[in-house]
Amino acid sequence: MLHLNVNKKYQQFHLNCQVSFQPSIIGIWGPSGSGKTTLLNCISGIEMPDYGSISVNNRILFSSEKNTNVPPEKRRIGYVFQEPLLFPHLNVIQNIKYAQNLAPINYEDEISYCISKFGIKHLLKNKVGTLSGGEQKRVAIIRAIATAPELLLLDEPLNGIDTYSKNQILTYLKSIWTDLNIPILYVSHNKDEILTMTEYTLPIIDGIGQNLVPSSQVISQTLLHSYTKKLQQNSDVNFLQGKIGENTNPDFTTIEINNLEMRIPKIKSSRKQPISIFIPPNQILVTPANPKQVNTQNIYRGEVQKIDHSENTVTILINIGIQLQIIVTKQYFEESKISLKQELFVIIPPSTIIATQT
Amino acid sequence: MFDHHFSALQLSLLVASSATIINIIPAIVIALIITKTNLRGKIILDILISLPLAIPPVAIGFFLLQILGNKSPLSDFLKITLGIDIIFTWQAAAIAAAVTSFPLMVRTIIVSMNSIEKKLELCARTLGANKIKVMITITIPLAYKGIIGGILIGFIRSIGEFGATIIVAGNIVGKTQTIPLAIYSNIQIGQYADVHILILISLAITISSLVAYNLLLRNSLK
Repeated sequence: MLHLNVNKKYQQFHLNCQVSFQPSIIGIWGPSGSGKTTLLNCISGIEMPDYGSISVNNRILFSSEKNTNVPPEKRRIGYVFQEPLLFPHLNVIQNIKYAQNLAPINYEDEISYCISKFGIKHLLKNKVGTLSGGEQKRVAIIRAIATAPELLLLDEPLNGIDTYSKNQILTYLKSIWTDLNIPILYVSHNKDEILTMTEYTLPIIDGIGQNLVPSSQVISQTLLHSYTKKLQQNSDVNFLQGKIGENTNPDFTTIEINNLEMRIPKIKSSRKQPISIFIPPNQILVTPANPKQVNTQNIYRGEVQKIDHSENTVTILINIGIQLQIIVTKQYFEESKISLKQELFVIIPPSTIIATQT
Repeated sequence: MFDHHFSALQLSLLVASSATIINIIPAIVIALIITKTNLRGKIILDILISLPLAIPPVAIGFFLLQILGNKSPLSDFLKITLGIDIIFTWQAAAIAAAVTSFPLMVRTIIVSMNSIEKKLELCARTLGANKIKVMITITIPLAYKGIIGGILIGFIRSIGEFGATIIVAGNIVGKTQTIPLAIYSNIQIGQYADVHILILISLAITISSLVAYNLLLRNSLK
């Protein structure tokens, strides 16, 4: 289990990240400058949070309350920086041995596994300066694994690497978890990488670490952020309060909002637990025709109450038992001949719903 | 080359090498403290080690004479424990050369240590090396060029050392008379031919140390 409660302030910037999870391959996603690297630096111990606590598998690495700050060399956190940072005075195998000889557990087998899997066997005696960017990155990853880490931190591991090597390295990285059982925190600003690598992601936006979300929702989570900013004056649009309902489907969690049932992707929860959700207005589908053929959850009927035209889009206010704001393109609005007081079918794909447990 | 030239050369090499060897480890350690630790009072240390640059060498010689000269506590201690009288010996000349060349050596090493990418050292920490281990296995090897350069500059400065040496070691032919002191004596008595020979000898030492330095660097890049 990884517990993070990291608070660090710079002049203009405040990183605040409170989250606990069972590590597997977890993504950390956020725009540049959102505090991802600072978070990794704090976990690895090369930067110190102002206050808070960090623990891995019940081992406290940092706690401002208990005045504990385990030095980086004793944390057993493997850290692959954005740059490969290979030691230029050592050759490839010496770089790997450097970490191996200092590690509390000798990862001889794991290292030889990686060396052959990553295809760098023929490079072991080379000076690091002669290696390509992708080769250097691979050596840096193996060197971090040689520390016998309990957790591996990867900071934008595919930065500056050509597409061919990228796909290769992604495959290798997955095998670190599946074959060697070393959990990974994978930092990237690239949504595709996050989607390929991870199932769950911790979005960090403007220094605020959110809850873990399914990686497929990372995109809508960004929308959440931009919407909360835009809709400040009208802030309760599509923000709904409910509670966890009865569990009827193994793939989904049911939530109850007033008398309305809605399904969202499976989350850990207990019945009756309060939950808030946000539905991005442009992710909701409306159609006059009965969508019988559509095999999806969350189909409702509702009456159009208000129509607002803007340049390319139309905002519709619809009542399905609760009021929802929906944004459609002008073209779709005209083709579907939507009018006031009309009854429409509303489809809310579960994966677009963003849920926060309160 | 005559005997008295040869003895001056021999003494100069002995004094300068000793001074350099005495300085190597303290210079590296102090450079590490100044560049890689958060020690309080680092600035004071920084100023202290640079002082010999600001004080005229003759004055340094005067201070050393106070410390090492007759009836000083240190000289009494050395006389009683080791039975040696250090003043007016080649060892005193070596100490004078060490003190005057130390700041140049440390400064050169500091520059090279500061130019090492800090992240490499942080990365070594995450790979399991503690602070001391990082200094030994990463900082010192990567500052190799600067350390060799510092040694060279210190050595050349020691070869040319005059002011402090003449005060603490005197100018005794065959015992403490190094090349600069021999040049001084010969100028005073008007032996210009000897002066020219001695200048050529010290030029030869400087040039050959520069050549050696470049060979060392070239080998390190292979």
